[in-house]
Amino acid sequence: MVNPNFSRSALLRWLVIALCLLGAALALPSAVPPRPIGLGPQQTVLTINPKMGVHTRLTDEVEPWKVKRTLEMVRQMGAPWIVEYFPWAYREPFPGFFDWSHSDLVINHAHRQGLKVIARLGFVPEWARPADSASSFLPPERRPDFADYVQAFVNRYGDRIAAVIIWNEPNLALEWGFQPIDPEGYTELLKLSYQQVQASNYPDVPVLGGALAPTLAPPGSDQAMNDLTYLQRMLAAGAGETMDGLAAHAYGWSFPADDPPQPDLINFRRTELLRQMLVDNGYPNLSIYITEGGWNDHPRWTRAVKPAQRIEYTIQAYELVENWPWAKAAALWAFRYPWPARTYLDYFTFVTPDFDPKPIYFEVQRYSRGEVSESASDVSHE
Amino acid sequence: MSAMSNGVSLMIKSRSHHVPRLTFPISRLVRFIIVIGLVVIAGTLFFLFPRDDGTLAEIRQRGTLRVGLDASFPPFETIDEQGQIIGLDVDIARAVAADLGVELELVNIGFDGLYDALLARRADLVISGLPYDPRWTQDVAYTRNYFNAGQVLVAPADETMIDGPDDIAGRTVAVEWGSQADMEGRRLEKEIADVTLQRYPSAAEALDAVLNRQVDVAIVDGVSAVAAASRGLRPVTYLTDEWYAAAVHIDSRELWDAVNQTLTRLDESGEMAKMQAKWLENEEWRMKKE
Repeated sequence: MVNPNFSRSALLRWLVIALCLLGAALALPSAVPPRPIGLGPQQTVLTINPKMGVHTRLTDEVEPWKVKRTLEMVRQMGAPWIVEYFPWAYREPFPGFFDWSHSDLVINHAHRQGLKVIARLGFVPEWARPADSASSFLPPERRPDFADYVQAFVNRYGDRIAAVIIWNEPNLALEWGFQPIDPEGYTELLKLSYQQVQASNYPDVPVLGGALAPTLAPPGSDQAMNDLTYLQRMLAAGAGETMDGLAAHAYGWSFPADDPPQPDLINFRRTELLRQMLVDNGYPNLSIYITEGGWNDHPRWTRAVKPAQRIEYTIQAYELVENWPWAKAAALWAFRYPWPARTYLDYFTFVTPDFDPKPIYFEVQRYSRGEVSESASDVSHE
Repeated sequence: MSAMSNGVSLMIKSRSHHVPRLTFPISRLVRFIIVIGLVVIAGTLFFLFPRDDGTLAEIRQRGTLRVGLDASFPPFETIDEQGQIIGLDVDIARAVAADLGVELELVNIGFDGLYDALLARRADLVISGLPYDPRWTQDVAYTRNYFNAGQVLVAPADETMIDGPDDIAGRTVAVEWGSQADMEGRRLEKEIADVTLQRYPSAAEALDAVLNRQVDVAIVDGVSAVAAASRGLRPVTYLTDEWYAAAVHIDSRELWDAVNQTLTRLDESGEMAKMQAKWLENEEWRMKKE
């Protein structure tokens, strides 16, 4: 029987109130802004090798304390350089509307830790590309919009960044919006970006081109273009005049860092072939910045090495780059991921998502301090 | 509004001619609540017993079970000199196919493409030394675990004083330099008094050092630990866990059930232990890996 004193409207009212309270309780945690984290005192990086660096992965790191902790650990490892990705789509979600909150967080903490930031720019917002297209697809008519973003970025951070990278691995179809790979089109994008930086408040911020993926893709491949072929076509299209340096990706795969370079081989010293190409084309003054690279010690990945080899090759690579007068920095992939990839990619990192340093972190740290580091020949053998 | 017009009448059958008529006047609101309750119950039942996507029926009709794996991870799966894919996971896949009464087709895919192959229906099942990953559980269903590849403390077989990490105080511990075992060793070095780490270029050499009494214990991965057991060493305890399981599409419930039945059968009959001994204690793959 229904209590006649308890009307349906009253019941419904209480039901609505209860639902509102429940909704508010559920929404409350996400509505509370993250606890502010102080920048702390100005720090400097102590290292014997001023070219050491790592590529951080802070783009998807939401919590300020994790951003700060990551950058502190980079400094403590003795690496003065970082490369970080600042997606255009995140910064300018609507035309002319900029949200700098996350990039402020990263840049300010990195600066306070005494780190030099190379900013990688890319990722097309939805408003600048056709519906359902890939986020790496930038229609030619939208290239000036990207160049405007580059200028806006430099205007805001020009006093705290060391360089900007225009796009990433444009010699891969995946990174060029699954369009035909187009070195001349990329050079046009580079030129527009360069001009906008020249017209910015900080025209001296170096503009880096390339960041090419090392690949031996055969001619005519619709997936990728050989990086040497691509660079030659870039330079023929005038890229040498519209960049201040070349970003290079230097992965060693299963070879030691000092393995000699060959055009038909992917190894760390392939970077020297890029350098030679710049010289041969009349650009000996263009510096090279290694903005990705390194080794992987996954137990199953066919391009991986053993953990001891990874340590040895990594330190060897830092030593090599220190002695390359034409190289400014070697930022190896990747310092830490926000969460486990649970694939071979996890075995590129120096620190776990939980901030546990891997042995390679400690060994690189020892190297940066000039301490006698273990090497494969130092560890115990039977 | 009269009670009769809004009420529900229940007719109770009686042998007598006198049929009592019980009437409960129930408001629209109560009826609404009853309907909502029934919907909730039906929904709960739907999610508790979701429909199967028919993969198992398709496999039986096709006469072939397609198992995705990345044949570059001995001893779980690798390619032998004749070009055949072999390994522990292959033997497990054979057992599943045999229990289903169908042929086995191995689909060799790069590790990063295994889940996509499952979702794109290029494979019915993945058995490939696959670590359990909670982020995939909306898309795939993992079977029961069949191997723990985590880090293991290993001692000489005749060393009875070591039962766990607390017993390594004051002892020397061998690890592979730079490995997960090294990482775990460094953690224990901080937590336990007087632990000395001795680093070796490989897990096999770390185990050899225990055998040769150059060190007291070693920390190695689960695969190396099983191999160690056949070499006069004693796996003491797991220090970390890394569970391997097979995976099916989240909607392939009947296949998931069938695979679990096979894994349970293999465990209970002792066949899984024999398979593991066959592959994990095999010196040939160990040399290949090292």
